[in-house]
Amino acid sequence: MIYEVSNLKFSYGKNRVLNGVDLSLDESELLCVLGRNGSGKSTLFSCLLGLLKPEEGSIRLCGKELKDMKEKEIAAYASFVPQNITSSFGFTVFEYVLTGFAASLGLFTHPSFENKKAVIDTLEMMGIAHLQDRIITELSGGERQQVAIARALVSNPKLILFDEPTAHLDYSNQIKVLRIIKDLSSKGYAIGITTHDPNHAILLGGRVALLDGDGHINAGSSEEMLTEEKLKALYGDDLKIRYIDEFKRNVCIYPKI
Amino acid sequence: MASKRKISITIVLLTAVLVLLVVFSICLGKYPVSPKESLSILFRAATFKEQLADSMTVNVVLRLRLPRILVSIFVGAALSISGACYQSIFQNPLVSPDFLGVSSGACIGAAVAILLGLSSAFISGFAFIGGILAVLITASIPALIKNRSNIMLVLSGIIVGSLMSSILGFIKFVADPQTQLASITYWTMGDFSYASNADLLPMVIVLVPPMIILLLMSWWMDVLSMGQDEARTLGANVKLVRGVAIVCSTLLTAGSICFAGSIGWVGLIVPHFVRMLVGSSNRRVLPVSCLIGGIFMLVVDTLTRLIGAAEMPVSIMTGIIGAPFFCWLLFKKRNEIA
Repeated sequence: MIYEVSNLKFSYGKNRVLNGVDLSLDESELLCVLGRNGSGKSTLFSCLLGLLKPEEGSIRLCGKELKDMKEKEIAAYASFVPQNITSSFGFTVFEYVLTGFAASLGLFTHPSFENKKAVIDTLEMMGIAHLQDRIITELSGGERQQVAIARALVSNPKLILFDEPTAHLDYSNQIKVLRIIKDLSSKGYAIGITTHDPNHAILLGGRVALLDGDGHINAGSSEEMLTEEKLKALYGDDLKIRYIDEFKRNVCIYPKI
Repeated sequence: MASKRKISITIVLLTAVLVLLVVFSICLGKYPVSPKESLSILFRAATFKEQLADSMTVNVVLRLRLPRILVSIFVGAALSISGACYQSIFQNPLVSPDFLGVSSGACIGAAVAILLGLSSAFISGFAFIGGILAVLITASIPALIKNRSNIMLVLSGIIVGSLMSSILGFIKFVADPQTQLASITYWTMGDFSYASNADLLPMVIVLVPPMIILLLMSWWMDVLSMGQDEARTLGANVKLVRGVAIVCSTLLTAGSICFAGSIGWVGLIVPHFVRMLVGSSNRRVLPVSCLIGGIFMLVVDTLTRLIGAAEMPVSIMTGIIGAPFFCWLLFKKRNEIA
């Protein structure tokens, strides 16, 4: 088991965002977290990464209590792909991806030749080796997301968490990134992802967790969770789920606005 | 790797330029010394082969110009590397080494010592303590408010900085306008003219260890510049890395102020210039900043020695060069700045 979360509670001041969350994530499992803006999706991930200390409850990562783990131990199991990579400095793709080795290096050690070779190999595997000398801030949104994923992969984690990886992307790049995520899942990485679009959850398959406005979470298979009544309860709007025979899958649509 | 060779060439070239400029600067001044003479004095002094005659030329070269040149190089290097580190730590390329209140605190320390009529060693000591105290106050405000984010530290730096300049204003107000006020003013604007051989050993002891530590951990500046949360998810022990980096950068700034007074602009513009030259990776930015910072400070100080009848405070010159340079930099980067 990668993550075992039980009775997780977290508040910002008096505002309780997570109110007794129980959740689990198995090896090579894909979990899609859906919820409205401000429902606590990012807060949940911050707790899972040890960035925020929960008030109550326990998080176990690969069998160990998260609160007893050092940053480098957590990072050895879990990589994080932020929503959008930005930098005030003009790092190249190569330099950026190299920072993925922070967990394995000491204060006075620099990345080795092997580390650098691993960066090139990962960029090649992702098909973006040609970008290695480009400045990250000059890349397109889709390219940046690929670079962020490459950095998450270099440290050889068991699990990758994506915080709304498609939020800043156009349609074709959204599909591209979803395809990469699906591909990583089939390679055996455990994956956690937050998204706004139920269709992304349908496309990715996997399990779905719905985070409601009261800080509770409900998880299950995507068929089980992505029903019209559950989505109505979550988003407060009449969303329709329709089966498209041609594609052999469900879609989620707004009948009208 | 091609880039590795390129950076070694850059470092060798810059070192050569620095050495040339040292010789050049020794020869320049109100009392001219020929390059041949200065080289021979330097060579003889370095090898200790023979006792040097106590001539005017030897005195000018070894007691006046050489210590002053070395102090200016070290101070320029220290301010530039600490500027580059502060910018990475706070993910803000517009941060300069004195924004945590170091220089205003150091100026108060120095001003108090001048007001009490203490000797120059005490002035340096007071300046150092004042600078460190100011940073401690700056650092303790976020801890008291229980919000340790970078923005809180920057804001608290602004608070401490403006409080310190008010206190400094008060000290200037009560200082004796004939003597004390002038020395305080020189102090707050930087001055290498008091540099002597006695400064060299303490300077090396104060400035070199933090400089070496920062150079050894240069790669971690890349990680820190991703931001605190991101650096933690990458597995960095942010508390330790950030702590060591802030302590070393602060020691460098406070240390350089106590040898030369407070000098503006250097720590801000040199790292920018260096990033345009060698890219953003701090493994290149930090060593090259040391070299270019040293070169820049040496050139500026040599100019202040040469221009005008009386010596000009260094900050006047760095400001005159720095402001238009920064303007040009912004012009070049105008498309990247939203």
